Amino acid sequence: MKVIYYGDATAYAAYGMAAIHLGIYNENEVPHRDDIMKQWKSCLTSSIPRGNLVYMGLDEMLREVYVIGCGSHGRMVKKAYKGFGELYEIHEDILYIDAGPWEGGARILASLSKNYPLIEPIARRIYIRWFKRIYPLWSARVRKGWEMAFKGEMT
Amino acid sequence: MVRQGAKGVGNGFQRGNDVKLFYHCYGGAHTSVTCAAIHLGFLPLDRIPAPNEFLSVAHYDRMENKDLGTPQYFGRDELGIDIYIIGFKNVCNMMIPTIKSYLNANNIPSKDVLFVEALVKLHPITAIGGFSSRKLHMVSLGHPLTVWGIRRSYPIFVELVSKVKENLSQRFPTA
Repeated sequence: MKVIYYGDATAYAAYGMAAIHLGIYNENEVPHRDDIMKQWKSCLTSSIPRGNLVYMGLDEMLREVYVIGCGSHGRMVKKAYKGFGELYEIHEDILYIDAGPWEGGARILASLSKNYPLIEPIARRIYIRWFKRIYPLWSARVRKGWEMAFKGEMT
Repeated sequence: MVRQGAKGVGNGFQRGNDVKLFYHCYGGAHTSVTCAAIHLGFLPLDRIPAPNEFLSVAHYDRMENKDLGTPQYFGRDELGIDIYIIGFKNVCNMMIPTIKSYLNANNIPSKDVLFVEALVKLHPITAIGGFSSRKLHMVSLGHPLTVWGIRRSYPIFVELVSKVKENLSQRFPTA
């Protein structure tokens, strides 16, 4: 089984949620400031282009965890994966977890900083605050994803 | 590992030799269908087909919005390559790596998955007709407009398909 976290861009929220899933980030504790800053830099550089399915690792149930940035086309990506899965006889369940609703702040701040580099220091500070506020919601979403996976519900 | 072809035909292809070609466009209803039909000989190479000839082409002006992103089987050409059509809206630059990376993650060689953009030189009338037919469901208005536009651009599609077939025959001489 594969678990795919998807969102507008990989770095905004999908990466963070996948990191919680894999235990790279502690579920109950906001990551260290250095980790937050690394993620902010990823947001700015768009180091992983949209459309690349990136392998993050195996979780404790031996499920492969991936992240992908796909803009607002998550539905089409799901259909493509379903269609190509049938075509190539890939009989594997995929649990999709939409990180989109929890990435708005990062998206706006990264976009502003890219367009107006002078405000980057302010945007960075706001990002850190936003990250600390959104982090419990990411953890909750990942937990919900786990529950869905246990129940066998695919989104 | 011997596996069956896409349509369940026992062709005995090895997984690595199972080449598939996807003509893609915005909605997967007009230009990609035209190119696939030319490729498979359903539409002529040497002349511009009459409007009613398009009616007999399967999938022409029929792809629904809900099917965008889903490959539709069209046929198998003389080289044994399966031809599909698919609609990617205007995000083919994102969707192609998305699909190829997924196939790579499943150990399927992406070099055997070929994508050809059929949205070359789209006539604006085709776009208007496609919008009327597929989005507004005004088929009686949109369908003739798409045919009119496609017929205007038909030589371009023929040229594209000819180049594709030439490349395929060089690349897969024994496919």
